[in-house]
Amino acid sequence: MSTVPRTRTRPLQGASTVKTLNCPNCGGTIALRAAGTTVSLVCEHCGSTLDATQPELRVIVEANRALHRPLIPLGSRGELDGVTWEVTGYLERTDGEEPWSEYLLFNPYEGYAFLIDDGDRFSLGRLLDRVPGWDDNALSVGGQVFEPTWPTYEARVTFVVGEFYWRVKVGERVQVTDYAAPNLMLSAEENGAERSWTRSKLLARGTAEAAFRIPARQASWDSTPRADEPSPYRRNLREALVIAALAAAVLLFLGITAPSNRLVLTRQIDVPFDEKSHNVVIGPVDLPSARQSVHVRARVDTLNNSWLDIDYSLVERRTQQSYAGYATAERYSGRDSDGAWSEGDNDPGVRFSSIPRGTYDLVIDGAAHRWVDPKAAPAGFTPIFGSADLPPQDMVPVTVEVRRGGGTGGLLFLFLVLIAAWPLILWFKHAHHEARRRGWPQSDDEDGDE
Amino acid sequence: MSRSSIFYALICLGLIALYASAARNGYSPFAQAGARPFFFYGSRGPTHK
Repeated sequence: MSTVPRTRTRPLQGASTVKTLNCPNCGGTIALRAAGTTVSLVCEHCGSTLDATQPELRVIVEANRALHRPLIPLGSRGELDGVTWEVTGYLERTDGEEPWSEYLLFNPYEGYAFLIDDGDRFSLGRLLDRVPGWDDNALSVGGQVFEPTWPTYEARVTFVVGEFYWRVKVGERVQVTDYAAPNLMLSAEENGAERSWTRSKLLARGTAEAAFRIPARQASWDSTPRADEPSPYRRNLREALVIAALAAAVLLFLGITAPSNRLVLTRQIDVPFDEKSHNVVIGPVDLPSARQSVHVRARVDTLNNSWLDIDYSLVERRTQQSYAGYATAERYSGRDSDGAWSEGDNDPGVRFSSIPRGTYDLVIDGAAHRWVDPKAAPAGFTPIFGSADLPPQDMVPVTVEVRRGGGTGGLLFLFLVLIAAWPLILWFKHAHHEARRRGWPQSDDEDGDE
Repeated sequence: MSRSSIFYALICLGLIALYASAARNGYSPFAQAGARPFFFYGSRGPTHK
């Protein structure tokens, strides 16, 4: 991400800037690509470090070893961010645990840049020509805020070849502190003499590979994300939240404007105890809509230690089409060592779904039963369950209420849950990515302070 | 808009249409109507211990 105007961006022309020399140690032919700015040159044949500021290439460190070739050969050219870069140097570094590679790129109009390869992704780094500003606990460069990442670590050079604008050698150590922003990393490198700032941009997968014509790398989905790697779910999550909000608003509007339930009829019937079944027909139940739900409720206020089985049949008068349903009203109470207790639903309801238009009768089959405590005490003792003081009932009065329509609340809730499912999945994935991305270890000092 | 978002928007449209149709026809997946199963007949009593 260069701030240099495009008018200054010109590609390299031919190979006229390359100067061919012989290594004074091994005699191999070496190329000096950035003559005038190169300070140190490492022979790609024998590994000797040469002083490029001297015309005769004085040997600084003599070596006689075969060098392995970098993935991107020295002298390769490729276009990144609209600038044609030439690879002049290559070095490998490690923090003691993870190795990575850095290619030194050169363009006579743009200067130097670093192509950093962590083995999975490439980043393009440029040296900053200004000191970042502090903003609370973060750094700021050109309005972009960088958060602190892991503690300062030591980076050591383990391999070097090519030409550099500083005297680099194997074993060179610097203290590195990284700060991250989405797609960007700000690194401070310090040795005893100076501190330099590099801002690197995470390149899209395949960009560097295409620019330098090397095999493209496949994404590894189970690898830990980099500190500067933005969540791939963020965009989809934002879009899904907007869509979900719109859909939920439409659903709520439909739910609010849906017609509420209407009372069709109310009847009171009496169901005798200990009869196998007591049959009652009530009606008419007029259902005017093409299809509607019907809710039948039976309220039995006088139930005591007894239950009532109720079977319903909603029968259309003309076609005799029948729809069945059932409910059980029950109520039990008593007293034990913990005090008084009661349980059971004496107001059960049943909902019939999608009943067609017509005039119906509601056929009710009721059967009332007394509950007998199997551990009941003999006469004269206080019973554990129930109350012996209540007079025995012969009939159970039941209030039957029939309503049509309504009952869409559960359906509305179900659809809202279905709509929320995808944004929730994306949010979990996004949060998981961010937790792994920010999961850098804390230093002992920080732990101690906290 | 990403492909997955377009797909999700289409699913949301389908869900809205499904809800509107269900509400209009008085359909509910939570309706309890139906014949009483045979094992629902028999003795009942409190579960209190």
